[in-house]
Amino acid sequence: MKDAKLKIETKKRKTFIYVFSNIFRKGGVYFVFLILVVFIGILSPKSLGPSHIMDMLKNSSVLGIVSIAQTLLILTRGIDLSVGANIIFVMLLVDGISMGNPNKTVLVIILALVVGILIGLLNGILVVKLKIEPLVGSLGVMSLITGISYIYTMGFGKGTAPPFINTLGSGQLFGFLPVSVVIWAVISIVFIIILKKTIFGRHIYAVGSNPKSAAVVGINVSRVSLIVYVISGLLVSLAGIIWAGYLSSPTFSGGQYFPLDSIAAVILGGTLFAGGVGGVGGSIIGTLIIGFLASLLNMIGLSHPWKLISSGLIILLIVFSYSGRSRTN
Amino acid sequence: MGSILKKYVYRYNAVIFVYIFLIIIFLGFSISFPIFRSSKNLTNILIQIVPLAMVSIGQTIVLIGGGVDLTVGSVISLTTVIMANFLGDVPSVTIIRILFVFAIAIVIGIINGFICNETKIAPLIVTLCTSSVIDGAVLAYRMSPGGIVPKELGNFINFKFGIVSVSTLIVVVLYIIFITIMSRSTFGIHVYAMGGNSEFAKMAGINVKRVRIMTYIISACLACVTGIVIAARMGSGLPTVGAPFLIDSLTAVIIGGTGFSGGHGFVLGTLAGAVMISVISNALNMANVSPFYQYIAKGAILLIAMIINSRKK
Amino acid sequence: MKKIFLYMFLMVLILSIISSFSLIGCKTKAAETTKAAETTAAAETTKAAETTKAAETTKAAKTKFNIGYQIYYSGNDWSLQMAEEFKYAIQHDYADMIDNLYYVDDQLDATKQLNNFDDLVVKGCDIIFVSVLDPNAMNAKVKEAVAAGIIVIGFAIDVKGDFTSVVATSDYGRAKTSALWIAKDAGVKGKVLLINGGAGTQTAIDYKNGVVDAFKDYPDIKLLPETFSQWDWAIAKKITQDTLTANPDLAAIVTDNDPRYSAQVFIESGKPLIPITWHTNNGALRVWKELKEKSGLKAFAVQKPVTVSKAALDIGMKALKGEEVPKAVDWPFFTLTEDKIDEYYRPDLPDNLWFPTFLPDDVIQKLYSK
Repeated sequence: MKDAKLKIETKKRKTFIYVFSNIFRKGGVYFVFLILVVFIGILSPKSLGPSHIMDMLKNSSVLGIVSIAQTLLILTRGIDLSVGANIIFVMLLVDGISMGNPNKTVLVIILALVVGILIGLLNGILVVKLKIEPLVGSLGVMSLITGISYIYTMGFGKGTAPPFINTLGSGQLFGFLPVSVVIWAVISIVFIIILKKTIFGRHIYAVGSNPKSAAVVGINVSRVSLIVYVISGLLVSLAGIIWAGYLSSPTFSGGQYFPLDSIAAVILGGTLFAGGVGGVGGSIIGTLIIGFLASLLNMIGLSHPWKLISSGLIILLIVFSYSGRSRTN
Repeated sequence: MGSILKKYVYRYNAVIFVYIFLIIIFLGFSISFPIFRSSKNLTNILIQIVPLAMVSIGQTIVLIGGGVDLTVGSVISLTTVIMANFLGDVPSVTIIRILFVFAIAIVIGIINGFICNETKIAPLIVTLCTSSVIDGAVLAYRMSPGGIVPKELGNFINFKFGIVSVSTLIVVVLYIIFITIMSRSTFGIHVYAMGGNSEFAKMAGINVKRVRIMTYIISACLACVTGIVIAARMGSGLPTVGAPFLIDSLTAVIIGGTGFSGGHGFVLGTLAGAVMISVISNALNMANVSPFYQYIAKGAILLIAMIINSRKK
Repeated sequence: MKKIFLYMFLMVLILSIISSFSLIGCKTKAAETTKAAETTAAAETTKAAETTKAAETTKAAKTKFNIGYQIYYSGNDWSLQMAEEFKYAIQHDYADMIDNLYYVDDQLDATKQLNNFDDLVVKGCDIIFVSVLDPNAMNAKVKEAVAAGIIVIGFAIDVKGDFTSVVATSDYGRAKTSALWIAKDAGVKGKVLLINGGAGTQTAIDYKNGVVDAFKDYPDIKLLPETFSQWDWAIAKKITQDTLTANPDLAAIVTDNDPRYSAQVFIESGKPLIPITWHTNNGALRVWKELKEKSGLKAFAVQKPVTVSKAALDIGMKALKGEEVPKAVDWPFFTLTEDKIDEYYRPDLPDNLWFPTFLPDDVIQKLYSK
């Protein structure tokens, strides 16, 4: 008799946790973000002022676009570590070739997008055709592009971005809405629609969750993966153009955070490395979490070592809260 | 006889070609630049390959097991700072510091493994976060470079027999130990099994959780030994010294044929990868190649090694 | 079968890449392969003799020397320009003393710096210039090298050890001067933000100490917790933004980074500019001029000069000739007040150029333009 009672009780508890973590996992990201905002509101209410929020959004927009590219890749079981090198190379090209000359604007934009497509193609061919692991392949591409960047400039970044690109990166519409945020928003909407409403989007999810079944159903897995790589390369180079406009002179520093930060943003957003689960919406929130968290830690005036410790712990906690305890491993 | 040889060649295909690659590079530079093969330079090379070769062993084992360890750089930095600063001028401080630093490394390994086991968070994210915490802890402990590493330690580790130094011997011994463990012991088989498919491994009766924690402990401890060797060579502790070793250890492991998907790879290959990376820096210096081309050279080697290794599958 | 051909092709490719390396490289590479053997042999025998007191006489007999220069970071244009100042100065003033010139890249990595130093010693350098990243790490090696007769000049970053000479700019000194300007001349009272460079480096610690010591006598000044930008402009901008939002009454900024991005924050948010410590690269001067006239910016520049490498070169060459050199040279940092901007600003030259500089215009144009 006692055993039966115990069994029922444990079952109930399990079910409760199961249900709770299920809800959390589905809407978890938004819920967690809400909690973070509440925390910010308590610890540092000034961060929630409209102009500061606009600033934070503007600072996060380049990372946001890169994270969308990374989302597409991770959804199809890929990944890209070369995003930082891509952005820096594009920035160097935009600045070096235009030298600030407005007449060269169209030229450098087209050049940058072509470079993005080529890098995406390179990553894609390594992964899809040569069957190299995505982490490995993109690491190689990263080294290659970094090397090319260094040789192209011999270490001295030259030039500056043309005025139109400066507006893209640093300008505001109507006096308060940053252009880069608008671009980020537009790209987000476009890709949310692609992923949720188009056949191609469904193919992406199918390929990610189970490539073998997808092939059986008739989806050309290689083609889908390759296209995703090219699109993400393109998106990243677009982000690079905006980055060139955000910084007034070219520099090598700052690019090294993009790969890990974008991956973190995607994972924080609920997309799984296993592929097939997640989406752009989550990654937007992931990007915002990273930006807002960094800002919060700055604003409460923590010393640098404690900023590192806190951000590590908090991100771990956030990811834990909706990936939950593993029942099987 | 021929068939046994063929079996070995087939099994170690990737490794063999990386070694051939390494020998070609070595021969090529020795012929073109006699200074490269001078005894002084060889002595230096044998010392320069030590840190990366050591830390890459641990990274290989973790990767074979299906995980990844991004904390190695932070553990190295932590180790050097403790070896230079902990407890100040106290008798037998060397032993105390070494014990302390190993204790911390074991704890870090346990924490990494535990979080990977008990949560569904990917090891990439877990170790990324823990490395951030460790970096913060190091800076909180001591923000500036400096301190004094006990001279006895330096004298011991840097002592040379001809062109071979004690640190090189330590690396060789470690490789022998871990190659044996990974290829012959039950533990090694379990790591490969876990990396290949942790579900099946569990069903086969392997205590996957324990094996995983062990791999992270091994990685942290090897990073710790690396830190001790670096501290002995420098005589000082530096909070930023470990950072470059993270990417380099991953590169070395990749060149050596181990991938991120787990279940495959050889520690022996990693040795070639690590030696290659260290030797290339030295060789390009001897060849007077402008610093900027060194970036391209490293990238090219990585790509070539990647392509060679991929065709193996 | 096909695979074997592929691998053979790769081997041939690699061998040809390696042999072509002898064509890439620095200017004096031409006679490298033959010279390499001779110089190594010569350096080794000379070194053996030098452990006895015959050092000076043997050295004076040599007229051409092998010179090694360690670039501490190739990803930073300040460090690269410093190397260019050195390159220009040595070709211009000491061309007849050069036998071989070697440049290596430390990539901000203390371990690599040690390895590079070893490599330069093996290549038979008579003199090595190095910007030491860890104050203690190089000491044992440098001691050994100096004892073997190699001249080792530590430069740009201050360090204590058995160097032949250390020619550096005091980070502590320049930080203190910047901070004192904020306290005294700008008469700042209230909260001051400190944006430092790289966490965990000796430069950063010295810089912070300079600032803290300067503010000791000014109780009205409250120094906010130290922040680090890791020399990343985007991070410096974010730090400024966040600190300003959290502390709208922020009174001044002391920064070891590009100050333009911090100033941008005020322009973009429409808030009045506060006193900021400034840099002297061309772009920063341009922005300073603009902001001074349009927005009333008060700034004062204290700059670690790239010319310190030339100063180190001069000392090093003296030592090579066998002359006495001081053990430590405190190369003064460069200061600039707002009325002197036009003495340096050059609208025709690129933004990333650092002042003061010894480089002539044509060299600058060649470096910075395609």
